[in-house]
Amino acid sequence: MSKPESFIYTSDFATLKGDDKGTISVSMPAQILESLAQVSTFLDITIGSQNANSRIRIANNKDGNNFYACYVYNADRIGNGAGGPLSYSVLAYTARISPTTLRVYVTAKNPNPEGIGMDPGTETFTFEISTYKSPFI
Amino acid sequence: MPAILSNASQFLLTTDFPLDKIIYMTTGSVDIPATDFRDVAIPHGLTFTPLMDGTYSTDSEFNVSYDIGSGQPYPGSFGLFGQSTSIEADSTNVYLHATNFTSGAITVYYRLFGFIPSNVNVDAPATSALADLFQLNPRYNYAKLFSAERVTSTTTINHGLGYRPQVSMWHELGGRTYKTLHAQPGTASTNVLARVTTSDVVVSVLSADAAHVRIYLDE
Repeated sequence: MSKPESFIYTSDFATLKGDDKGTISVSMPAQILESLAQVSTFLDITIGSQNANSRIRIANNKDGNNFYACYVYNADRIGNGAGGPLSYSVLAYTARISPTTLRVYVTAKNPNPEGIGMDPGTETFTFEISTYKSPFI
Repeated sequence: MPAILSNASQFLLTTDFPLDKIIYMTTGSVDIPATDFRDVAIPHGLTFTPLMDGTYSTDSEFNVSYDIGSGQPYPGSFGLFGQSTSIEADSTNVYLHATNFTSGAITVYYRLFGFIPSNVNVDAPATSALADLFQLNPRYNYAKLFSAERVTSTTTINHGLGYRPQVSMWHELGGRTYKTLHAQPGTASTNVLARVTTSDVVVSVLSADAAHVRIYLDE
């Protein structure tokens, strides 16, 4: 055994290998969300080798275009219901649909028992995706 | 001589910055009935709590695999994915939580690996069994670790790279260390946040005891 933090590199320990990177933006215009419903929009990006892991940074235009390291970005919003303002969420996340294709989603979810109008303006999420190979591949 | 960052990121390997070292690896599977979940506890045998990560698949051949925190799209449900996973560890076990939201039973096959926290400096068992194979291959770029830190309050880590680097995050809460999956800016109810700019990583420790951040030279 050895202390891993004492070495720049040591053959005792498996390591990770860089793989791929890409950027993609997905937008959702403001619209009516039905009661207890969700609306999604998505785009596909070819990125990464089969079984590669991801590190993702996500930014939203309504939140200052600040990039956060995460896999699911949850943005709290206020929409307009018949009786006044109501909360809802907009989420940005990815799902792999094939060995080398990532589907990038924006989903607006209305948890309220009535329809609401989303906050005005288009929601645009930008994803910066880096993939790497784990020691299993 | 101080490291020249603009050069270091162009190298496959540089003695100015360490490579990631995997100190724990495990694989396995768990059967999950429809609309159910399973918690898998895996004794890790380490003398510290590792920072865990991994991938999983719903087929044993791993034809398509998913990050911890992601999954298969599941249109029509109020959830995001057909299945979800999260991972955490304490000083004894690795814990994999797997939920099946679909209407049919599934098997989750997992491949998990772990890092040693930056505030731990002890021996760790070797994980590389490739004594007769190449340890380094110039076909690959090896992700170089710029910094690894454990912080207990909001901290700005200056990297000065001029681009937004790769960042991995974990948070400590109640004696366990969790792979950070979600960001919910603007609310104190989120555990930790890592805002990544071209010069800094601003780590906010909100509903957590501490955050572990690994920043890489690579974009």
